[in-house]
Amino acid sequence: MQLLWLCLRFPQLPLDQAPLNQPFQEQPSRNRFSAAPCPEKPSPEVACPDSDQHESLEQRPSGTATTEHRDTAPRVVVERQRIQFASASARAAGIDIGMSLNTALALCKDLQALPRNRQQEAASLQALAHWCYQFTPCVSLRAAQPEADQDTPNDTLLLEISTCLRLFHGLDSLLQQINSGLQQQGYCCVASLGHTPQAAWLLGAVADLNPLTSNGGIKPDCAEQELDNDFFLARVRQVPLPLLPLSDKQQRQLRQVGFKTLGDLLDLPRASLARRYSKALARQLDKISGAEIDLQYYIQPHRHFFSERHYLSGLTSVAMLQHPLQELLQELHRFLLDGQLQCQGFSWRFYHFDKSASELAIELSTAQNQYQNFLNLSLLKLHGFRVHAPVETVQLHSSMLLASQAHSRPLFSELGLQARHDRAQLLDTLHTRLGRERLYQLVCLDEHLPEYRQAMVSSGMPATGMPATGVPAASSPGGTPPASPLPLWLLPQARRLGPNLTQLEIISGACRIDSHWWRQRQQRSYFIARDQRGSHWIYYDAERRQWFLQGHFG
Amino acid sequence: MNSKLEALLKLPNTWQASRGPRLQAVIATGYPQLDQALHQQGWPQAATTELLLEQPGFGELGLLLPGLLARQPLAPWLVMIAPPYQPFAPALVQAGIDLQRLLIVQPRDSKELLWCASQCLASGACSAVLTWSLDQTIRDRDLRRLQQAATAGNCWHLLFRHQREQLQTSPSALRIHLRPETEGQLQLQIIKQRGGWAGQTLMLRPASQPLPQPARQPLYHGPLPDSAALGYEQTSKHGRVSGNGHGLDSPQATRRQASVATLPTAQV
Repeated sequence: MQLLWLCLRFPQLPLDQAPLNQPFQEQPSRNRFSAAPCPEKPSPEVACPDSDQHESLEQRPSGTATTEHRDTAPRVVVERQRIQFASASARAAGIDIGMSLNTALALCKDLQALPRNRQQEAASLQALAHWCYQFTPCVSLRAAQPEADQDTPNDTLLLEISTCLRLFHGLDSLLQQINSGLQQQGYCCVASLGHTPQAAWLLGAVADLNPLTSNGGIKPDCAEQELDNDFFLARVRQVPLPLLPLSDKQQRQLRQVGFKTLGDLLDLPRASLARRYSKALARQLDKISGAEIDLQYYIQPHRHFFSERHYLSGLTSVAMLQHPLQELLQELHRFLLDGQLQCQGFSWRFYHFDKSASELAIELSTAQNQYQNFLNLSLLKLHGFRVHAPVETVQLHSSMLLASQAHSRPLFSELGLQARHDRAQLLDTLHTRLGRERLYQLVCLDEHLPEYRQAMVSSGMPATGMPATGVPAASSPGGTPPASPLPLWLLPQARRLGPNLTQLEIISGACRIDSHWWRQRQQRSYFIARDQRGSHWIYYDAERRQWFLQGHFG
Repeated sequence: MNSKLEALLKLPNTWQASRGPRLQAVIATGYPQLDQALHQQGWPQAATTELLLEQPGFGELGLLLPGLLARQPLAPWLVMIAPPYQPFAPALVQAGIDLQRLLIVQPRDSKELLWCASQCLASGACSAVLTWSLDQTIRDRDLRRLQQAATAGNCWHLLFRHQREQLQTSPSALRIHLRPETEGQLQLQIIKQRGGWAGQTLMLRPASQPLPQPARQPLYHGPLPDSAALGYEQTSKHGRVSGNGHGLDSPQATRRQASVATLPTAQV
């Protein structure tokens, strides 16, 4: 099968994910987190944020700051007092890579200098990889090159896209979706294609050879149909050798012999190359040409969802919580859709200014991914919630995720083939407001004493009760005697009958139950009695020598 | 276009899925007498039916059973909100109610009761919602809300209220006053029915009301028995039901029981 690898390089990753100099706002009308999911999902280890973390997180880049906005402020990333990365506007001011920070500040007084944070870069790249997971299941972070310079970060994602071209209506449309998504998140990206991961990466390094333009679209001279192994191989052969990730010593050796492009090396027999230089080099060439499979470690999607929002001046009312709720739930919804997951429950955690935390957990009776449902249930739960101190952080967490199961809806709803979905939805709504203990269902049990013949079970549970063998069907076939009439209402506890004016008229013979001799023996004779208020089910307890009322024929 | 097909589509009894489900306007009550009294020939659907009574437990649920059974397959739930007693599951199974569909809700107060009722009614997932609100009065506004929810969710709403509310105006589609009569009979008085004349009074015997045993069985009239009369001394087998509700074990027992006189009165 013809594979197609898309290589995404983020050459300005430290700069792109560095904080923006933007005053933090917490108006409910913030449009900073728009429909595009925020890529910076912090790792779930950040479960209990301390104050330091807030300082760093509050300034985190917001999802959709436009690139223009980023470029207006000259920014540089500094490590060991040397400029490592500079934005376009900073470079226009004359700032260059490798300059000392003092020189740069002398050149440009509004310069924002940011310390380099490799941990955050790695996290950003991870988040980007998970964002790419919505396009293809084969996403890998390019393995770090042992020979690579320590200062060049691992900034490359590799996506195998041959299998998902049809889903996204062709290469053109897929590339467009990926690029516009990245742009929306404010990332500068160089995309390239190749028939192997290595080839895609190498072609991305040379703009002339890259089959994609700098905007990420296909170059007009490369038709989509032409993109096969030979096409890529022909281009890879022209890649200059210095771009090959090799040690300095090997580069020197090759240069001395007179090799200029990759094609010169690819023409040579591998066995002699391996003998003269190293086996690793020969294998690397095989991986570029596709003779040897270049195994990639694909990322695994998250098994839980976690996201949070911070508000410096605090949210003081339930109404103000509504907006963050919507945003976070939208994020959850997107996450579930991308991973084809359904969630069985989620929990909200609110951190207040007074260091206390409150938690609201919402459980669903069936797994689902309906945003509107989630929102309704959350608002319902919030109904009884009092904000005792301003809320600083809103967190949404869900670890109860299941692979999604599609339900079919019936065409003929009047036939009662209603989807189980509606059933569960009503139950969830009632559960959330009333609590589980206020809803129950009945099951029949095999017992003689009426009060033990049924059990109340929490609703929504699969019926575990025994089939009601003790109750013959109303229309039993001839031969068996018709069932004795049973009352529709049962008193929660049998009531003792005292002497009184009302005359009960007994209209049936006795039905005797003698049971529970192993505990407290119960000898009862049941009768149907009648008075002006209807028919009743009474019994005489022979042990206690008393009359009791058990139920009503309602 | 195929003219034959068009002709077929024009037939009144050809139903197309695109037209949406056919709504069944009424459900037969199961009692011809009552059907006749109701001008729609059955319980009005997607509306509130008010049943006014003094004290529950004299056959009002039995009156509704045929209607509930007919509607049961239409939706996944049958909800009882704040029932006055505990429903007896074996009896419900005997009557044909599917326990898996029966949901019982015990709200804490009348506010929750109204909220539950409107949620269940509007959800479209309930074939019928039975609400007991005998102690609290329901305001006209809330009644209207419930009525609207029932219409929106195409749900049959049954509201049991105390008979003192009889004089209050109500937006319900049907209001019936129920009263127990002698010999398990039920007196129905139609107070209001939407789009028809009210004022009919009729007597019914709900199917749930037990009939007196046939005459050849020894009936138990008169004084309530004491233990000796019931022959407990002879019973030695434990843990089983002896006699199946058809009478006493032997004629001897009957004769003995008749000779015993004990205090006969009891209050229910």
